[in-house]
Amino acid sequence: MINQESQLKLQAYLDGELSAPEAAEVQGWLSREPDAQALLDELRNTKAALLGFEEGCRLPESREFFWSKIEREIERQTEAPALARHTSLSYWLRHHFLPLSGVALLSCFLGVLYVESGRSAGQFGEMELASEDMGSYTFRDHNEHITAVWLYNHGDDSKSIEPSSLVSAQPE
Amino acid sequence: MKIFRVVPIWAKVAFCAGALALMCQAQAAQAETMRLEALLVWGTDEPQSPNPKHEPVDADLARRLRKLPYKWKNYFLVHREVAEVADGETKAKISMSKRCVLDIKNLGTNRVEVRLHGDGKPVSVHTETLPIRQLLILSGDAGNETGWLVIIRRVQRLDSPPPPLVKGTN
Repeated sequence: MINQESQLKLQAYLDGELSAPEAAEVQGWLSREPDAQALLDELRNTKAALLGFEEGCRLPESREFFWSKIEREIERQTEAPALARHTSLSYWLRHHFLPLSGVALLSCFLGVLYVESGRSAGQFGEMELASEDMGSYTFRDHNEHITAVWLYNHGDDSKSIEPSSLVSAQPE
Repeated sequence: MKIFRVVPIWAKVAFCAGALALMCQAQAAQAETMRLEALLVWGTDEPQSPNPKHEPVDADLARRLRKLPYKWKNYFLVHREVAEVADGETKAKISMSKRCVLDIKNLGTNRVEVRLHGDGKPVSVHTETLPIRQLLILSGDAGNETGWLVIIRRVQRLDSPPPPLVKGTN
């Protein structure tokens, strides 16, 4: 029985891949082992049979045309990076400008909205009284959306306006 | 167009949303004419006003006034004025009574400046944000345990779309 390692060595011997000492060793082994010699003969026959059936590759076009195609492909691949550099601006515009402009528009809107909301919500109103003798209380009800101002006069100066004079319930 | 086929969908959505938002903002920022209502109201505990021309204020206004720290139970409408004030313009000399006059200026972005005059002399100036539903109330003592209130509020403009109809319940 020939093990797998010996079979592989025999195959290498048949293909001429062994060094001279190894080949001499295999030849000695073949002279002693008839099974090995039989296997070598079988391998040699198989190799001869396969060589007879091997067909050459036939090109559908002429040799010059075949190689010119390969040359063009090589040239195309070397020019591709340069072409990519030329189209980088349009690529950038397509892939970044529109998305970025959309984000910028949204940011602008949110910014304006924030400023406007701060302007309207952050200001509680202002009040200015015409006379130092007048005072006021301001009451804000945010749930009812009411700002109520109570005006009063705490001075004795007759030049100031008396708020109570603004309205009369009596028939006019 | 070929360029729009290669743009990612999120970018298209962001672009459209941004453009739409800016258009809405631009429309909102347009100069707006305010339609304002000024009411002179008398607050009292009396069930009836001595002036037969005075009517109780509307129920919603009365409800809101009763939530304020005013002490009166009843509120009667003495006088009502409606004015349309364009953006940046002033509606001057809105006469609420013989002695009470208002100047109202539309400052834009829902803000108003109200100048209160009594007997021809300035009393106070108020600057306030006045969106729809907001009330600005200027008030004071009217003697005999009563009070006066000048109420300024926004009302729907005549050319604005009507509010949605609400089906009454029986």
